[in-house]
Amino acid sequence: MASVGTSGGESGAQGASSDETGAGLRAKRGERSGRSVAVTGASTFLGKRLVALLEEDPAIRRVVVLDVKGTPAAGPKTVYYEVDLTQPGVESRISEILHAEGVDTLAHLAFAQSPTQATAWAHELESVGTMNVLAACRRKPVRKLVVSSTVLVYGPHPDNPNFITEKRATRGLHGSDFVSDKLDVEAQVQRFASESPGSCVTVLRFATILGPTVDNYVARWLSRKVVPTVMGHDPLVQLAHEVDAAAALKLAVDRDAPGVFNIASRGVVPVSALVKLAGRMALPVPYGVYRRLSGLFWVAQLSEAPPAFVAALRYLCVVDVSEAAARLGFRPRYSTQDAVLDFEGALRVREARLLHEGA
Amino acid sequence: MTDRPNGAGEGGNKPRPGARAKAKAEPAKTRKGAPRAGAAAGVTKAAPRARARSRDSAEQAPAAADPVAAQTAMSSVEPAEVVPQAAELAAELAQAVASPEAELLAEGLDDELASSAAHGAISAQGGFASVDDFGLSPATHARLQPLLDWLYTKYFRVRVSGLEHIPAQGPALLVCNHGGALPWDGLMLATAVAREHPARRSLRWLVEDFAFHAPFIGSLLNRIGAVRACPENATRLLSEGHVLAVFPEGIQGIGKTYKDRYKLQRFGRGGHVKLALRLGVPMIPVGIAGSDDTYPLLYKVRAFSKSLGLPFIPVTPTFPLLGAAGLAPLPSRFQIEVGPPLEGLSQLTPAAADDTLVVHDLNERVRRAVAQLLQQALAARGEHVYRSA
Repeated sequence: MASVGTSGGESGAQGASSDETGAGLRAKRGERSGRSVAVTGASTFLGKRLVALLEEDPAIRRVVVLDVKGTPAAGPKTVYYEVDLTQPGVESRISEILHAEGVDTLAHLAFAQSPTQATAWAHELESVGTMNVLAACRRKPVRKLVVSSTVLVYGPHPDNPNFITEKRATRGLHGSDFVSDKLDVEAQVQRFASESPGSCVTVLRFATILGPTVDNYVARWLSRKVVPTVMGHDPLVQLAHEVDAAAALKLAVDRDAPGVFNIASRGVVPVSALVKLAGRMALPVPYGVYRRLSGLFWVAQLSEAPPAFVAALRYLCVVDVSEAAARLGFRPRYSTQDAVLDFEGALRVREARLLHEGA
Repeated sequence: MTDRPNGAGEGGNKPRPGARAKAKAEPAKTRKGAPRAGAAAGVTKAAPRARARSRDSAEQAPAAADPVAAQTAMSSVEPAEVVPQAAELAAELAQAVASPEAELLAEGLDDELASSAAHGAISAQGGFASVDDFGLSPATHARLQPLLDWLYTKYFRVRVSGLEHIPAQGPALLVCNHGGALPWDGLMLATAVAREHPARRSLRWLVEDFAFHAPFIGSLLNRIGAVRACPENATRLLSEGHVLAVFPEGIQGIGKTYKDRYKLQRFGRGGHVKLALRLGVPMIPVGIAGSDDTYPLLYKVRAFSKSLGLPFIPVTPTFPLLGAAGLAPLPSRFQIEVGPPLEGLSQLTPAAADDTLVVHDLNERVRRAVAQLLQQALAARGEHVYRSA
C-alpha cells in the first residue's frame, strides 16, 4: 500500500491486492463491483475531503485524481494523473483517462477557493477548465457529474429574501471576477445538463465553508486581530461547517439527484457576533471609507477580498437548504455557530504555535 | 477526514451551567447580607437607599449571568472604595465578598475560570450571538426591554383592545395601517402583543427595504423582530406558525403628508391576501392610531433621495433641522384596535389565490375593515394627540 498517488497506480493497486489474502480478495471483489469516481481539483479543500471519504467507502473501487499535483488524502484506491485543465488539448487526455478507468462519476471541484489577484489564471482554470472537462464528458459520457459552486452566485443584495431558494435568479456580485467565473461555470454546466439528458448533473452551491482546517478568504479575514466590518450594518451570515460541506459532497456523489442544491449548516449569526465568536475585535468602518480603503488594500495585496465583497458585509446572502434536505438527504450536523467556534479553537491552537502548517 | 466534532464548543459550554448557578447564588447572599451591613455601619438614613441599591446590583448580576461578569463585578470593589460617594455600596459588596461562603464561591468560580477562561468568554458571547433564523436576538431584545416598556407605557401611552382576536397558537396575519417615517407602529404592536396578549406571543412584522437596510436602524430592528418585507419571508414566517404583521400601504402609508394623516392608502396588489389564501391563515385587520403623529410630514424632498436609498427625504418640524435628534418621534398617544378575523376566508381553497377577482374583493374587504378600525381607534384616542386625556 506504499504506492500512494503515483501515476503507476494501476500496477500498485494490483500488487497490493495480491500480497494480503483476506483483504486482497475483498479488494479484488470490490474492484469488480465498485464504482470509479474521478475528482478534479483534488488538492482543494473539498477535493481532499472527498478523496478521503471515497477512500473509506467500500462501494468505491477506484478514485481517479485529475490535478496538477497529488493530494495528501490519497490512499490505496487512488490513482493520480497529472492533468492541467488550462492546457490546450487536455480535453482528449481527460476523455482517455475517463475511458481507461471506466469512470462512472466525475466530481469537478477545480475552482479557486478565494478571490485572487491572478484573475486571468482563475478565469482559465474555472471557465476554460470547465469547458475542457465538459467536452471530455461529452466525448466519453459519464453517468454522473457533480460540480461545486458557491452561494455567492445569488450575491448579497439588499432585496434578497432571508432565505434564498434554488429557484431565485443568480445575479452574482457586481465587479467580482471570482463570482462571474462561477456564474459562467454554472451556465456551462446547465447547458451540458440540457444537452446530455442521459447523465445526472448535480450542482452544489456551498455557503462559505469554515471549520478547523479550511483555509479560504473568510478564514483569513477572521484570523486578523482586528476584523474590519461596515459601520451600521450587521447582516446575518451563514456558513457551511467543513464536515457538513464534505458530507453534502459525498451525498451528491452517492445519490442520484440531478439539479442545483444549496448547502449550508444550520442557523445564522450576525456579522458582529461572528467576529466575537472568533475571538476577534470588530472594527466598524463607514461604508464609503471601507470601500475606498479596501480597493487600495486589494491593489496593495493587503486584503483578502476585492472591494466588491463589501456588499457581503452589508447585505444578506443566506440560503434555504430544504431542497437538499428533501432530495439529497442532507442533514447538517453543525450550526453556523459551531463552525465559527471550531474555527476559533483551531485558530487559537495555531496561534499558540502548538500546531504548525497543515493543521 | 479528521473526525473532530464540536469538542471545543461543547467542552467550553459545559462548565457554564454550573458557573451560572453559582453566579446566581452569590448575589442572593449579597441581598441577605446587605441590610445587616447597613445596620452595622450605623447609617440609619442611608440604609433603605443602600438596600435598594444592593438589590439592584443583586438583580443585575444574574441578568449578566456569566462568571466573567461576576468576576469583574467583584474586582471592581476595591477601586470603588476610594470614591467616597460609592463608599456605602462598596462596603456592602466588600462585606458580602468577605463572607466565608462568598469566598468559597469565588474560589470555585476562579477555578472554573482558570480552567476555561477563554471558553467562558466565548460561551458568554455565544449567548449573545444566538439569533433565530430571521435575526431576532433574544439577548438584545431583553436588553432593550426596559426601553421598549418605557416607550410603550410612558412615551406613546399605548392602549390596545381586541387582542383576544389573535389566536393563542398557530399562524395569523395581522393587516395594519401604516404611518410615520420610522416603523414605530410595528414595534409598538409587537410590544403590545408581547405584553398584553394572554399567550404573550412574539409578533414578527415586516418592514420596507429602505428602513431595513438603513445603517444602524435596520440591523437593530432586525435583532428585535422586524423582517424585510417580501413574499418569501412572509411565507416562511407564516408556515413556521408565527403571528405576522404586514402594512400593505407600504411606502405610500409612510409618505403621507400631515394634512393626509390617517387617510388609508391603497393596499398594493393584494400579496398579503394571496398569502393568507395559499397558507390558509386567518387575516386579522388592525387599526393603529398614533403612528401618523410621530413625524408630522410637512414636505417630501425627492432630489438626492435615490442616491441615499430612500424613497424621499422627509421634512418634519424637527428633521432635518435638529439633525439626528430630529429622528426622535413626537410623543403621540397610540391606540391600537384589533378586529375579528375576516370571515369567509376559511371556506376558500388555496386555489382562490390565483383568482384575481377573489383576491381583489378580499383586499377591498380587509381594507375597509382596517379603515373602520382606524376610525374606531382615532375616536377611542380622543382629541388629545400628544397630551394625556
